[in-house]
Amino acid sequence: MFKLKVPKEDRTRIRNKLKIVDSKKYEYVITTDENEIENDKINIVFSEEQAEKVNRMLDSIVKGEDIFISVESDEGIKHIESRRIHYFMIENEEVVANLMKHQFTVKMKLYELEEMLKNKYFIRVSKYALVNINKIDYIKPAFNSKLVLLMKNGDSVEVNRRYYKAFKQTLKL
Amino acid sequence: MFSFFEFLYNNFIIIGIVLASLLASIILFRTVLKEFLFNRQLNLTQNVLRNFSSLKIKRPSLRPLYKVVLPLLIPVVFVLGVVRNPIVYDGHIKQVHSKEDMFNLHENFNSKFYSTTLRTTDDIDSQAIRDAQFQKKPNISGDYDYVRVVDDYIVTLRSNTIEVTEFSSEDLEHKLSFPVISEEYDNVELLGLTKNGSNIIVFGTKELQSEESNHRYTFAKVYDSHDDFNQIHSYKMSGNPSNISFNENRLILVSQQYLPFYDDDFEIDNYLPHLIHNDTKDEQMYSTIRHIEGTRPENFVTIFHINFSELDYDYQTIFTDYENETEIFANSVYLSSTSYEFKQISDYLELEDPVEKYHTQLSKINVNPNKAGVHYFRTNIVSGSPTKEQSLFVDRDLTMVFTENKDNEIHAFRFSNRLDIWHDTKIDGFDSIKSIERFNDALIITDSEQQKVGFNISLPSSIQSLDVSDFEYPAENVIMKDEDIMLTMHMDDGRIFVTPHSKHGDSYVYLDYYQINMATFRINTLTNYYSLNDIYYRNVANILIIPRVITTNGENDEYTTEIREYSFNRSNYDFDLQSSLILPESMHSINPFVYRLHTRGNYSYHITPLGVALTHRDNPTEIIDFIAY
Repeated sequence: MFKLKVPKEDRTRIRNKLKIVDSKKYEYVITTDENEIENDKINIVFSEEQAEKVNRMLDSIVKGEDIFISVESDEGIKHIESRRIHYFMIENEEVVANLMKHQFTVKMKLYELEEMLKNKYFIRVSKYALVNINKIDYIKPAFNSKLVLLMKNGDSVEVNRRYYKAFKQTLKL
Repeated sequence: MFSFFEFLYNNFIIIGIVLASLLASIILFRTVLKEFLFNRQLNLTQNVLRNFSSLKIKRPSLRPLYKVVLPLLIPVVFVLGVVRNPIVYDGHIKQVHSKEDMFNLHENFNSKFYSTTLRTTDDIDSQAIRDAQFQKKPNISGDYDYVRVVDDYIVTLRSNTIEVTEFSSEDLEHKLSFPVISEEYDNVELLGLTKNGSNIIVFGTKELQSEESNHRYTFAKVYDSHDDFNQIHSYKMSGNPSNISFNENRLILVSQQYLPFYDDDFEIDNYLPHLIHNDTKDEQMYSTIRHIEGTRPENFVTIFHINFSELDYDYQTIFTDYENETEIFANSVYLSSTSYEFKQISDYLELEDPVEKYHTQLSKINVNPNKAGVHYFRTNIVSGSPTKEQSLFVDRDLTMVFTENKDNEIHAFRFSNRLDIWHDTKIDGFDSIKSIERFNDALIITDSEQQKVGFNISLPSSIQSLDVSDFEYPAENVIMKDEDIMLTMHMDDGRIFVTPHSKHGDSYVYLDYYQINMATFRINTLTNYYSLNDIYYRNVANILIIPRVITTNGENDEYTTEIREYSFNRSNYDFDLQSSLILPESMHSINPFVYRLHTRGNYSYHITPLGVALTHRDNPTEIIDFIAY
C-alpha cells in the first residue's frame, strides 16, 4: 500500500515512527524529499517533525471509516464496529458474531456480510465462517491440507480445503 | 561385505521403518515450515494493515523443527533396542558367572546365527540331537580289560556281573559273584576293569530312559580284594560319555550334555554337570563354566578326572557346540569345534548369510596326573571350518587340526604344546578327510575317494610332504617281533590269519605264502570281539597259542572254543600243531568272544566270561579243574 522513500540513514527511525511496512504494489509514496515524488502515485511529502500527524493520517487511510454491524442482544439491537468482531460463524442456521468475550446473533446472511466486509479484511475461510484477519493470533497447519486459525479470543476456526488457496492469496503467500 | 540388494531383500521391515520415519520427517518438516511461513506472512499482513493490537502477536518460530528429528530417532531407537551388549572374551574364553549369563550367551548367538531367512530355530530337532548324542559309542583308551588277576583272584566281567574265582596250583574255587548295578541290568554296560593295588575298579555306563529323553551316566566302582570285594567307593558322572581314558589309578572322562533350550519345560538347573561320590552329589557351579568364543552355546562338555589313589576328583565344564570333537591324550583333553565370526550388522539386520567367517577353535584342558585337578589351559582359533569326518588328530608330540574353507580347500594346522601354530599347509587335491593315521614319523591322510597323502612329521615344528607311493606301512597287530622274524595277525571275513614276515635290511617282508588260516569257520561276530590280546606267543619255546571258535557239529552251527598250541619253526616258517584244548561247553562264550590266559608256574588258567579252566603245561589238553559260572 505504501512506499517509504527517505535517506537510507534515516529510514529505520522514520519507519518506526510511521509504523510503515513497504509493499511491492503500492499506491502511496511517503517521502521527506520532494524529488522522490512519483507522478502516477499519491505522494505525501512531509518533514520528520510531522511524523505523528502523518502516522494518524496513514491509520485513517488504511482503516477508513469502520462499518457497523447490527446485532441482537438481550438489551435489543446493538451496532458494533466490524473491527471488534473476530469472526462470524453459522451456528444452528444463525449467523453469530464472535467478539473478544461476547457472541451476538446477526440478522444477515453470511455471504451478505462477506460482501459488505470484503474491504475490511474479513475473509471467508469455510462455508460456515468469515474471519477478521487482524484478529488471527496464530496459524496452525493441519496434516489434511487444512489450516486451523487460533483467534485472539482463544477460539479456533478451521480453514476449509476449498478456501485454502484464497486464504493464502489474501495473506499474499 | 554384503550387497545392498541382499540388505533390501532380507530387511524389508527395517527398510519399511526407515522409509516410514523418513516420510514422517518430511511431512513434519513441511508442516513446520508451512507454519513458520504462514505466521510470518500473517504478521507482515497485519503490520501492513496497521493492526497494532494491544495483544502481542505471536512470533513464528522454527523451534518446532525438533519434531522433524523425532521420527528419525525411531530407527535409531529400534536398532539400539535390538543391539546387544558385545560379549568380551579374554583369550577366546569367557567365564560364565551366572545362569543369566548362559542364557545371554545363547540368545546373543542365536540373534546373530538365526538373523537369516535361510534358517530358523523351528528347524532345530532337539530330540534328534539328543538321540544322536545318546547313541554314540564312547572312544575308550588305556589299560583296561574284561579280566584282571589280583593276588590269588581272577576277576572277570560278565554282563552286569563280576565273577571272582580264587585260584591255587591245582584248585579253582568260585569265590563270589555280584552285580555291579543292583537294578535294571538291561541298561547297564560294563566297559572294563582295572586294578589299583589291591583294589579292583570297574567302569561302565547306565542308561536312564524317560519319556522326554534318553541319556546315560558313567560310573566307576572300587572294590577291595582284601575285604571280600566289598565296594568301598562309587562315582557317578553325568552326561553321555564321548571319551574315556582309564589308566591304573586314574580315569579321565569327557561327557556331553546337549541343552534343549527350545523345549517348553527346559530348566537348565536340571542339566548341570555333576559327580556323585558315595551318594554325595557335587554339582558344577555356573561360575566355573567357560564359553569359547564364537561357538554355538548349546552343550556342556565336561572333563571329569578321578584319581583313585588320592581318592580325589575334579571336573571342568565348557559351554559350547554339541557338534564337537574331543580327544584324550596323556594328561590333556583336546576339544575342537566351529567358531563363527558374524557380520557386525547381523545383530539387528537379517542377512542372506550372517556369518562373516568360519573358524575352528582348538582348546586344551589339562589334568594333573598327581592329584585330580582339571584346568582349562588355552584356546587357539584358526581359519576355516572343521573338516567333516575328522578334523582333530592328537598323538605323541603331534597336535593337528584340519579345516576347510569356502572353496573346499583343506588346510592342516600343526600346534605346539601351548597351542601356538607351528606350521600350516594346504593339502592340494583334497576336498575331504576320511581318516588320519600315524605310522611313526609319517602321517597318512585318506580322503573319501581313497586318495592318500603323506606328511613327514619327524621335525616338531614342520610338516613335510611324503611320497605315499613309496611308503611302507608298518604291520599292525604284531604278535611277536625280533631281529629276524615278525608274526602278525589279521582278520578277514571272520577268519583269523597269522602271517610271518622275514627281515631284509631295515624292513620286514610279508610272507603271504606261509600265511595260515587259524579259523576254520566263519564267525562274523568274531571280528567285533577277537583281538590281539587273545593270542599268546612264548618266545622261549616259539609256542603260539591261538584261541578260536570251531563248529562241533557241522551244519548245525554249534560252536565251541578251542585253544590250539602251535610250535613255530623259524627256519621254514612252519606252524606245527602241538596240542588242542576244547574248553567245556559251559565256558564257551562267543558274544563277546573273550579269552584270556593267565599262567603261574607250570599251570595255565584259561579264562572266559563264563568260567575258568585249569591245565598243566606238561599236559595242555587235559583240564585238571574248571569252573563255570
